[in-house]
Amino acid sequence: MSKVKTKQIVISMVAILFALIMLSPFYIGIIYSFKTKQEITLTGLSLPTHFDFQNYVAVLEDGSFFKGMLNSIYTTIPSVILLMIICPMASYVFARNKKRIYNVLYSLFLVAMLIPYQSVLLPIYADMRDWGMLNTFAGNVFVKVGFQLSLSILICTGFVKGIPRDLEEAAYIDGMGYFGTFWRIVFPLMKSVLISILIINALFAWNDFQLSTVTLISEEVQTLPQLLYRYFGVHSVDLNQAFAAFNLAMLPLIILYLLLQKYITDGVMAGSVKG
Amino acid sequence: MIRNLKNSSKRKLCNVLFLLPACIVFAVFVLVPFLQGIPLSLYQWDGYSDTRTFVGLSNYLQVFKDPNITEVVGNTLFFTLLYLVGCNVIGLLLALLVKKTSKLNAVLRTIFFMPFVLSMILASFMFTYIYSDVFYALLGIKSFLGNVNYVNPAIAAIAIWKDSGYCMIIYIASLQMVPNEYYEAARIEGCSAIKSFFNITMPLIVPAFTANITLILAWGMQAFDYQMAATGGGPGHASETVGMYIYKNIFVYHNAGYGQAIGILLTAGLAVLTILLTSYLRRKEVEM
Repeated sequence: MSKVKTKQIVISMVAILFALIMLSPFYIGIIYSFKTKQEITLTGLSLPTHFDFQNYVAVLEDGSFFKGMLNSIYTTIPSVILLMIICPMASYVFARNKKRIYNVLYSLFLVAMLIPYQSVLLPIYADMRDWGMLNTFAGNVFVKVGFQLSLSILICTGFVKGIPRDLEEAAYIDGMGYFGTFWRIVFPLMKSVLISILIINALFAWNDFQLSTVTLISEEVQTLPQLLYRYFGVHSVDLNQAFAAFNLAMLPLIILYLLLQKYITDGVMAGSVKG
Repeated sequence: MIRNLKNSSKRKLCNVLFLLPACIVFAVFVLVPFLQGIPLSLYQWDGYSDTRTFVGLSNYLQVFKDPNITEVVGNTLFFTLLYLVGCNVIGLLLALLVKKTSKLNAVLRTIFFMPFVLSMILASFMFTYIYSDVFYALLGIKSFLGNVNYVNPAIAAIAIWKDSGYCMIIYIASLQMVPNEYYEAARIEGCSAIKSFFNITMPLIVPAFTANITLILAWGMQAFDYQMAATGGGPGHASETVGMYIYKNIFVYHNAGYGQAIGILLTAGLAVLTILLTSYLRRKEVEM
């Protein structure tokens, strides 16, 4: 028995060691962001003696950071909401119908996951320009939604297949129509999977760089990753201020993650079962 | 009977209505651009002017004569290999360490997955500072990102740090499905822990390998953000990937038709690799 216990302690120690390694970049980022340049040279990696918010103030005073964050919000929220409505609808049809045509369509959505972004950058850029959607949030949102459909539909369809049909049949007999059955019975039952796709799509939309690079070209509409790229690719910024900017940029997602982490891992697992 | 018929055609109509929004967005913003990309690869075009010249397959032929291609393909494959092996080995190791359900393990899993929520751009910039300032101040090592020999492994390390937690989640789900009796039986038969790992665990978690390997392969072959942010492809072209090379040809060198042709070849290459790997791994799957 004690041998088993020792083994478990060793395993936990190794795991904790790994956790410290994984956390170290965050640790460095946090302590450096609260130090002045001189303090970093003097004190290195030790905890700051006092919390100095000057670096954060400097980042926020520069209006462009705030602007980038707003642009990210404006493009992320509509993408996420749209996906949370249209994917469950499509998934409901795919999960409840066995006809060949639905299977073919479903497979088409799945195969699209193999398309590398680089093969569509030029056509998307050209189309956006021709359709007058270049540099518009709508254009960016639709492109992001398009490329996130497959995974969300995959996750939702798997989930709906697991919901017993009895409830729907009962609702149908009670005289609820197709729409009523879906919106009032099935959709509410999908709560957990909806939160999963919410967070997975929020991560994707917030963090996307490549699709945004070709749809949002002018500086006023660029999102946070683009702003970071433009800023840090050109300027050499002192690392204490750079880390303050990084921490601010990651904060919304870290909070969302810590609140909804159960759902994100559920979504990741559901998304990994292909076929 | 008539009522039923009416119901079923009404049902069909409702099905179509429910599919329509997703299908329209998919068709207009994914399918159409993808299909348009194929003819675009047959033109010589700068990407913005109204004139483009049809050149047939010459963009494709040029790929094989392009001296840069070997380097960018080599970089991409090297990066992908490191990223693939690193994420899967570390992801599986982490999964084995924290697969049991406990309070501590829940916290550890949260920590291991946390880097995944950052954007690739953000993770890369964080590491450029860590490599250049922190490593130098603490260890006196110059940034690996400036060294031709270490730049690809250094970028792969960023990607591995960010994504091993993702692989871990999939491995944990798979490990938890292996019935405990199998291990019990192996232990009674006198099987060592290592032996039972290779003979029981590994064959039963092949579906997780399939999922993780195909996913990281696809992400690695399309690598763009990490390199753009960390090095811009440098030093020289030492970390330039196929993804960057396509982007640069289209939007920087104004050689859009050529970039598009490489994009199509990348799509085909990735599809072939994915199908080969999947069918190989599927054959290794065993029924539980």
